[in-house]
Amino acid sequence: MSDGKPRIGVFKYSCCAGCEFQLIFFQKHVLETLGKVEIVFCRMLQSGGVEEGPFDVALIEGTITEQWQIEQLRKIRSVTTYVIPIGSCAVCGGVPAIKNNEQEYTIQSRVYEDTSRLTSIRAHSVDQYVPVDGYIKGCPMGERDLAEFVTSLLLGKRPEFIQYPVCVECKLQHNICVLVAYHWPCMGPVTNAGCGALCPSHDRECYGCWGPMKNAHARALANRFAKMGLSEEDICRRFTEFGEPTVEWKPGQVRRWDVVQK
Amino acid sequence: MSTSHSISADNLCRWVDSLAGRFQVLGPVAAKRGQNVFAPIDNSAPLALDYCTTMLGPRFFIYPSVQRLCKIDRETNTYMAADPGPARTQLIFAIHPCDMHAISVLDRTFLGPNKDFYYAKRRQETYTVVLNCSRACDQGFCASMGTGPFLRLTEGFDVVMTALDGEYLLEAGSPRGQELIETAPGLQKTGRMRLYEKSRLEQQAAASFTKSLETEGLPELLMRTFEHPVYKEVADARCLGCSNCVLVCPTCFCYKMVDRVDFEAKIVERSRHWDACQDYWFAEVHDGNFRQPQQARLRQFMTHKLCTWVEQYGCFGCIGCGRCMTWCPTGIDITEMAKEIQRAPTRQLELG
Ligand code: SF4
Ligand code: SF4
Ligand code: SF4
Ligand code: SF4
Ligand code: SF4
Repeated sequence: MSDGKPRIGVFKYSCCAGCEFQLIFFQKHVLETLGKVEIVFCRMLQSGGVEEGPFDVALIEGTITEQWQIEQLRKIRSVTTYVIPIGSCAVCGGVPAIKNNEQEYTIQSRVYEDTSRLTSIRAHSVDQYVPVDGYIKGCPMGERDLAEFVTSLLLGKRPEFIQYPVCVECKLQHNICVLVAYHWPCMGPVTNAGCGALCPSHDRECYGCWGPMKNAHARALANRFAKMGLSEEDICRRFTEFGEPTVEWKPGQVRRWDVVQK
Repeated sequence: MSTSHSISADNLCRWVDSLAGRFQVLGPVAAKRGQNVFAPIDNSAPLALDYCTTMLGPRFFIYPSVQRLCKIDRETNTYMAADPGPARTQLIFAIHPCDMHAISVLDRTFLGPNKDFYYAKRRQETYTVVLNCSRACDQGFCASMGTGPFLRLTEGFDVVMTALDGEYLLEAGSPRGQELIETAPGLQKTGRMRLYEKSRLEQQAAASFTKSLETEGLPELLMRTFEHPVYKEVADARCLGCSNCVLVCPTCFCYKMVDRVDFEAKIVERSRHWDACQDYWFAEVHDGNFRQPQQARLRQFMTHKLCTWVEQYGCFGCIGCGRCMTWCPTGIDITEMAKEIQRAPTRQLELG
């Protein structure tokens, strides 16, 4: 941090750009804060900028789905102190990684007439390619962890990101558990908190948009869903909508599991 | 206990109406889709006195799930207490015996040698009116834990009520409870006969339990069997580490401190949230986690409730409310696990 202001780069890969919007939207709280950091590179906010860094912080948005992205990511890593994936796509594969669930060509030809010029690869999270220094989870990334990160940066302390399941926030809010009470297939027990248990607080089940909780026990929840009468396809869908490539949710992707066993 | 009185059901409602003028009354009410919850009420109309149990015990009125503790201004170095306690004196109405016992268990933690200022304030400003249970609830085993179906406490509560043939017997547990009873309309002194009927009813209620736990020698047994395979078997098959069991348990006292800083980094607000030993990060310390496998966390929850609590506080940490097993998404039942250990204390893990 040369003149005391952290230098920040924001990079976008395959995603809906919702996280960057969230960052820009977030300015309403943080005009003061933005004065305290220097945005060196952020395509959505300003043209130009120094793409090559160096950066104190690189915020990475989006799933990695092309070779050039991996190469750029490695370069960023080499000139950056803290690399932080933001949002489910970058953190755990997010929605773009649903495609991993089928043959690449099958998916491509469903969308494009001419697939000959496509160069995309299997979708993976940022940490599959470079070491990272923390995650700001959410879809789009959550305000609480973003605020924690920004204020920690300014205070020079280690950020304390939320690392417990949605169920904890759900209970802190006193919501009646929709999984136990109404047998709705809630992903809360295996999903990282941060949203404040938004969906159960609005009388519906969590669909896991924050991505897997560390150490989640997906198989136990998948078994519970099966006992509730969900089909293997439905269970598989719940565990692949977000976090398809993650080791935590693999055991919940029942259908694929069966294919392997058969 | 001083003389007891009885009151008709109608007068009981009038009594609650009048209490609502003096206190913030908190009682069991119907919630969505057949659930009951404890909530603030303005009069007796919404009361669901025949409720069986609630997902959360009324402990959260005394020990809130999220409680702001203080604010610190970093520039002026000033400190402000942030939870002034309840706005009006609270009165928890129709709290069941197990939950009243749970609060007295919490008292041992928060009002012991390390007295908790915030807890003490709310506890003092909360009246408790207990309603004895005339029937067992599905998952409850309070009769085994000595915490129900009728209240066994002699102090630490204000009034205890028992439904007897359409009337309610009122007995005071404290001078301020006695004073409360005296404000009830249409109060009638009761004779010995009523107290006899009460004990008959208690025996009847106690006999209606289907769930039980043999507590004799249990803490010693659990202490000897920390390596019992049941923890691994249950954790591997079913335990999600989701902490629902802990968070619905009315005696759990663990909390985590959460600090939030404003964007100018001037004001720090500190609050505490209920914490849970089933969480992975609960045991995360510098450079490691001392309860990494789920089985270690499941065992911590169960053995704290049924074993180590006894040494720590001289009572069980479990009051037999059955909430943890009811609200566990996969139905993990600590009484079943304890029974398995009692059945085969020396069983070894089968490999392969
Ligand atoms: S509703 Fe979902 S998130 Fe909430 S406690 Fe139940 S399983 Fe967990
Ligand atoms: S409850 Fe689940 S699906 Fe809903 S916002 Fe939170 S993490 Fe996403
Ligand atoms: S351990 Fe379970 S049954 Fe015992 S008091 Fe806690 S929630 Fe109730
Ligand atoms: S069971 Fe766990 S959360 Fe509850 S008081 Fe004991 S250590 Fe704390
Ligand atoms: S025992 Fe049940 S409620 Fe508790 S952590 Fe395990 S799965 Fe969750």
